[in-house]
Amino acid sequence: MRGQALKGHLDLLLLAIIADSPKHGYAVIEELRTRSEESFDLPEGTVYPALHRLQKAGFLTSEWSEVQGRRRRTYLLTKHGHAALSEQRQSWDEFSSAMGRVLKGAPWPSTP
Amino acid sequence: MAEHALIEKYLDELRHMLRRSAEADDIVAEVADHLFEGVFRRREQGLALLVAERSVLTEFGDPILVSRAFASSKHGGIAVPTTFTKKAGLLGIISAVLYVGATIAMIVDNAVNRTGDWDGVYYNISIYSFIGAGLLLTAMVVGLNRRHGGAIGWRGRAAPYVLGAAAITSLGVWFWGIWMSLLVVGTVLLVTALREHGLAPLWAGAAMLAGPLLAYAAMWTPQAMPNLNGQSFGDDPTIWFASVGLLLFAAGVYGIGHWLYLETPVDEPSNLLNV
Repeated sequence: MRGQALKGHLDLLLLAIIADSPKHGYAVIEELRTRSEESFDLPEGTVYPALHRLQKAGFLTSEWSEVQGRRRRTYLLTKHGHAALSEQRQSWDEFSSAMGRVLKGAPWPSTP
Repeated sequence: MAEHALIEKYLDELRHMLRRSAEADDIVAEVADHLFEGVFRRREQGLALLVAERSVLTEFGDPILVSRAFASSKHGGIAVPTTFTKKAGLLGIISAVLYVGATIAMIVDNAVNRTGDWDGVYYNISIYSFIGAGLLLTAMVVGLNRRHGGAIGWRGRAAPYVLGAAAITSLGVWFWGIWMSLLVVGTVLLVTALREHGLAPLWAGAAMLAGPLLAYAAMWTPQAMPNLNGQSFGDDPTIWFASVGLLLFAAGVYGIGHWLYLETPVDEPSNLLNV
């Protein structure tokens, strides 16, 4: 799935991935790719601005550490982020089940 | 790390493109960590260094696109429109409307209140509208600063203090010199900061800057000059000069407020899904 198709869902996906455990950017992208079974393919560089935006919005916080002589930023979900994720998961469940019902089609004959 | 020539070149390009961002060092450090981690993993899979570097850079994306994604404006750091900045935009729009109302009241007062009575209805409407408009404008500029996390520089950060002081001194709108001086200084600080960082519509900044300069010039018109030599220190600027200046200023404030208000906040739950 190309980046354009992911438009509108990246924030939710990122929050869901970081909710499980704190992760640095590379691990977030790797997890996104693994969980989607390589379906979500987008320029990796665009994930970082999204992470920064989520942090500025208060959904994430971050900590710096040093790994192999490099500075590494690890992202954690805030309380506000957990609440937003929970709310968005519910919205997504409702949306996807409604879509599923419509796409599955009504049993034949559907009209009297 | 001379052996990572391609990665270093990429990071240099990114650093150059983000050079005006307050967060450039952190962003480049984070990207460097990603790229070197990627090369390390690929090397473990047996790829040659050059192939590994090319593969990592291809997947990461062009530095131009990445830097654009980081900074929605040319130099303004990472712009983050939030519900706070949207409300600030709305306050800016209300401020502009109040400036127009205050100016109209000032014109009417000038026409009907020939004795310069300070208890005149239109005089008081004008004064209190100017104060309200000034305070709301200050709030809008605070929101504008928050949008960029303070990355629009010292002039952007100083502007709300000066504009706030101008709002307070508009209580003595009759003392045109101090009010207009502060309004001119605050506006110059704000507009030059906006232009330096390529923010807000150009016309709005130009109108906002031209307005108070024109209103300030109203003090020095031949009609107002005699007052400067008397006891009133320019209290009676040429009303039409001043009014056109204030209306221009209001148009500029509206333009910037409208620009802020139209943005989609990232922290609104219903917009969380918007990338």
